[in-house]
Amino acid sequence: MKQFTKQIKKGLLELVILKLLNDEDLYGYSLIQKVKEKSNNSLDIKDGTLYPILYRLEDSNMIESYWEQIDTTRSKPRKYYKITDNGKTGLNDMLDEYLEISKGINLILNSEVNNNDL
Amino acid sequence: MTYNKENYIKEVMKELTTNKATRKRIIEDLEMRIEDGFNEDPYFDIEKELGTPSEIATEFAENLGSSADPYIKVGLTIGEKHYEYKSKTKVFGLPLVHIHTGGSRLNKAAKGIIAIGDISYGVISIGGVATGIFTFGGVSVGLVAFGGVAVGGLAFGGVAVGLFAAGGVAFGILKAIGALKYFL
Repeated sequence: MKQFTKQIKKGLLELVILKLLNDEDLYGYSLIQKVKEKSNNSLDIKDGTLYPILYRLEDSNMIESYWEQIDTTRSKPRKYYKITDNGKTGLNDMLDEYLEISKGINLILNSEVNNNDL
Repeated sequence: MTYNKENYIKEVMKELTTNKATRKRIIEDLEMRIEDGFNEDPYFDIEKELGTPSEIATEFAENLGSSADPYIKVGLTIGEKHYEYKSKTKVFGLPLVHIHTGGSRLNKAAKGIIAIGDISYGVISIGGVATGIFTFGGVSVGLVAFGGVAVGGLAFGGVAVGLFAAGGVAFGILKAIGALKYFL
């Protein structure tokens, strides 16, 4: 089960992160919090999972990072991530793909349920 | 063990093999993450929130996938965890005994009078790659060398190269003993 959850998350978290960055620029810890908050605590992303995804997205020019000091109580600036135009296109493609796949999966799962009902 | 930011990150990085750029990114991000944790809660428990250094290093390694540097594991251990022992007794500034292995994910070097490690440098040196005076290893380079491939003054091994060489295939300058022997 753990492996199944891991595999599902692995693909979908890229989509989730791009979606959140499409709404606003965020730094690492705030992304972790947002994922938790927006998913009503059902998704919990770990640091060791989040940062490699951010690196992959950054390397493929879908997001970019910049340093900014907004919070004056901090001694150092924070690294924020923002979505690029390339990332926005990627997000739309991913969303289409995701909706198409989930529609197919739902059809299969529902037909299974219907068969069981018979 | 209670970790502060510095020693936690140090422990994580000990267990990770990545290129320099990725290493820099991870250190930066972990520093910032831990600072954010302490900003929110002065009693922030790094290990409780982020996991043990081994756990987070494993996550990073798994998720970095092809971003991680390819490397050849030369050590003898199959255990996953990094291990290091350094004796307090020193001889000529070197620990009497130094054992150092990076576990199954990376190579670590041991330097001591008696050195045992993935890569070892010592008077008595045992390792995947061993160098020193009396050396025992997969690849062994020493004054007296024993190994799969042994190079040295006296070399004994599957392939042995030395002044005096004995092995399956032996290349000797003064003497060569073996199934296949060549004088250099």
